[in-house]
Amino acid sequence: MTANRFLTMKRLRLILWMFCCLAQIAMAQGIRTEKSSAGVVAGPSHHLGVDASFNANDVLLGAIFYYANPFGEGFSLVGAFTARPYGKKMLVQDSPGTYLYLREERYSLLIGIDRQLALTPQFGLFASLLGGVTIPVYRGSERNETDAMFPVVSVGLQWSLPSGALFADDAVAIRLGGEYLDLLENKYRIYSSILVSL
Amino acid sequence: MIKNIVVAYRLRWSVIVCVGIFLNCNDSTNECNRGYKPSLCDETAPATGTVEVRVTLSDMNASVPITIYRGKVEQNVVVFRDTLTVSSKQYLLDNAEYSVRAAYKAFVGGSLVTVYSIEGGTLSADSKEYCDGTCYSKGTLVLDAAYP
Repeated sequence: MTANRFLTMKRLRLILWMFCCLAQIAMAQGIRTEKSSAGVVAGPSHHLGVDASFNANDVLLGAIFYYANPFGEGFSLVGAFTARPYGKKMLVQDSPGTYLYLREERYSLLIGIDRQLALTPQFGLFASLLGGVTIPVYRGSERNETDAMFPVVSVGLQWSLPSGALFADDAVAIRLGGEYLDLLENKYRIYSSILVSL
Repeated sequence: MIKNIVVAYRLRWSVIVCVGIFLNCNDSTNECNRGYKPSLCDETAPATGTVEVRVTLSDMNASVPITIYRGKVEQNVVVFRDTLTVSSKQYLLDNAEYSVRAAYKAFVGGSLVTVYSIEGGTLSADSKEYCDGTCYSKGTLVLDAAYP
């Protein structure tokens, strides 16, 4: 299966649908978030969100899934799908003295861990370490070298909103920070995400 | 009991949202507000269209050699070659997937190198849906092989 076929819109929609199914399975298992009035979680819980990683030259968008507190409070296991769905022109060395100027889309699947440290009931710090695979797709070319992407490190501030603050019965967390991403260029980025507890 | 009701309530809504995503929220209404076909309507999709190739001209690259491929560049099915002395040129071609490779001389890291700018896409007929049918016209594919 080529990367081009893998990345048709139908399959992207299928991936979104699979994220939703994961969330539904989690709920069907009855593993619930114990929410206090301040929105602080205790015990295993699940969170689903969207994130953006960007700088002046590039934007990556993604969906992210957290399995929070599986081993103890403050730690999460993370799965993420990240995409640059538009074509960005990139200069890639083909051989000595020869370069290719290609329009690149990029798709990545990542897993990792996340640590949260509450400073107050609403504000805290977070740090994530992720790694995985990244697949570039070039228009007009069959080059699609799947590559490892490690590390993806993000740190920053987390603002937790209790149930009822934004949505009727879901706690929400908003994250803003910096990110280091091991790509050819554009390694240093701003990271932001919004997470909803399931 | 209350917990089960809450879980069922939220499960129901997430299922609705996900089915909506999966089905891409197709419009299932029977009302048609797209108007009716004009009198001049080509109801057969044309087999050809326009491929527009764009390049960057400069002092170092006053003319830019291009190669048009059917499919991807690596498949090496050359349709034709040309050398452009204008920044944009159009060609009439059969509907298919095409790629272009434009060759430039450039300085990268202080060294004079060759840069191949590659771009691709699919040429297909344009269509417009009306309440009583579909009208077609020749499609246009823009292959922007500019550098930088």
